[in-house]
Amino acid sequence: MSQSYSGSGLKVNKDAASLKQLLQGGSNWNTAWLHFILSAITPVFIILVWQWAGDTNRVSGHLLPTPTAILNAFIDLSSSGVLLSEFLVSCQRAIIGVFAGVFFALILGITLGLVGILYRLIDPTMQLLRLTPSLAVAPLIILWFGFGETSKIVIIALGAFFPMYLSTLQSLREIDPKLMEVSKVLAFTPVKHLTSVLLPSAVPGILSGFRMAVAYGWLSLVVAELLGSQAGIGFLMSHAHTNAQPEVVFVGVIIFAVMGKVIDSSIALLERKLLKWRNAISG
Amino acid sequence: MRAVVSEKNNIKLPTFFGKGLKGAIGWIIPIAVLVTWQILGDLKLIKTLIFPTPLMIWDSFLWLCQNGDLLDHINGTFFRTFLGFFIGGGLGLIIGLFVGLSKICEILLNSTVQMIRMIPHISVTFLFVLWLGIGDASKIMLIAKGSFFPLYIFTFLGIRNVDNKLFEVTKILGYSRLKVVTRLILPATIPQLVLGIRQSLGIAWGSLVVAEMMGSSNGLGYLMMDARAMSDTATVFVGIILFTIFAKLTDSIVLWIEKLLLRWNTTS
Repeated sequence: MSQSYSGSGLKVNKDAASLKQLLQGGSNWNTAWLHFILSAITPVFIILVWQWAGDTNRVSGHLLPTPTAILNAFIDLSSSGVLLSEFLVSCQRAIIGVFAGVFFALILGITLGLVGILYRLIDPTMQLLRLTPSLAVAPLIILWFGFGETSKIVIIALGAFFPMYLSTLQSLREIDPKLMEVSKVLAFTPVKHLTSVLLPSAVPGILSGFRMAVAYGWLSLVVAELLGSQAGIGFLMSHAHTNAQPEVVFVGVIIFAVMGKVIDSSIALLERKLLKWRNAISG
Repeated sequence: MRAVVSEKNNIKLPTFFGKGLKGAIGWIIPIAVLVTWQILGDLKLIKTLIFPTPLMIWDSFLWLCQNGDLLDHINGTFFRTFLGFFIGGGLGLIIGLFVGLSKICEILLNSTVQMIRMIPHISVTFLFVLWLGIGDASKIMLIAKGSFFPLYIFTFLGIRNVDNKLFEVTKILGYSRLKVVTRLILPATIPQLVLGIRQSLGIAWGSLVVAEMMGSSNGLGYLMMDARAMSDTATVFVGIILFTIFAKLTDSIVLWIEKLLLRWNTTS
């Protein structure tokens, strides 16, 4: 193994040792550094080949714009302010849609989670509806609400609804029976039982549902905007597509990806912050 | 993490209309809704142009069956979904195996794959259309890209979660590297693999709908988009119901195969 990384003298031995340690799962500053370099090899290599193939006209710029062309398109779009305004339109849609979906899912999930008879009455229907791929409903929603803002928000809300509903319901119905017994032994009033046993123990499940709801909402936003809109990042992309500006399409794809990651990570961070008490108990 | 969490909801299969009186209560609402819907439509209290009654949807389904178009569309849809799924899922499985089995592959490839995974798979539709035209190739690629990641992640996770004690047993028994892979790692990974396959199939169906709606000349998604343009809501409903049935059916088949494969696993 160390052969392939040989250079010269002492340095090699040190690197080889770090590599060995890295492969065996050890970690210190040296191996972390090596890990970073090794994981960067593949992307850097791809980008360099991509740029080189574009510069030497081996690949047509109309099909695959070079990384620098994409960067230039990004700089142009941001300095003219177009990008920001379209981005804000998309964000507004996503926020309204996700919150609408999450709101209704929370209400329905909590109600069904607490009232047994409603659960048995309504949940089978919801489980049946859940099986429909959410993207397949898009044509029906466009038919009902037209191509306007409403249909986009409904598509996003629908995407966010089911993950949230399912985890809210599940986390309320699967609370540790021991906790229920404790609450009975301590003779909690129903209100106290709700606020200090049921809701706190459901919070982790509800939060992970929220994280999924946002991810699905973001994905539905992409679909809703690509199916036809007059503003937003998706519109920017379809406009660029018809005008043969692939670099702008790439900018759109990258923005969708980066925003998806940023949103997901910030919710994960929120989750950790809010659930600190939980770690304190289990640790 | 997201993928793992979402599985929590899948593992517990819908306790759907279970047996006995407790299950029967679940039928009340769907039946009541259907009957009211039909009556309201018959009395012209709701616009049947927007809300076609259940019987109208059934008629439109029969009509589509009779003129033979439906079979054609279903053929096109199945061809795309399964070819895309096999290409994407197969690659995900192979690369997942490599990355799971070799630490050096993981370091070189995993972070790159995770970066690409962040791209919402629908958003690259335009690029695929640009590169491959609006024919079948771009749709199959879109489905393949969607089905790649769940299988990759679950194969990788499955291999990494194989019980260390079992590894020690194989060491004691002096298994060769190949034997460890075929006798221990692959069987132990099957449950996770099945989860990956189910998610991949779900994504494949979802991306197919979008791919066919973006422009194609046959397939269920095209049928739905075409019906939408003609304001033929009943046909749109038929399309949605068919998609639901197909997605559920393929999922059940995978589950059935898993049960068959895991007969040895008495704990689950």
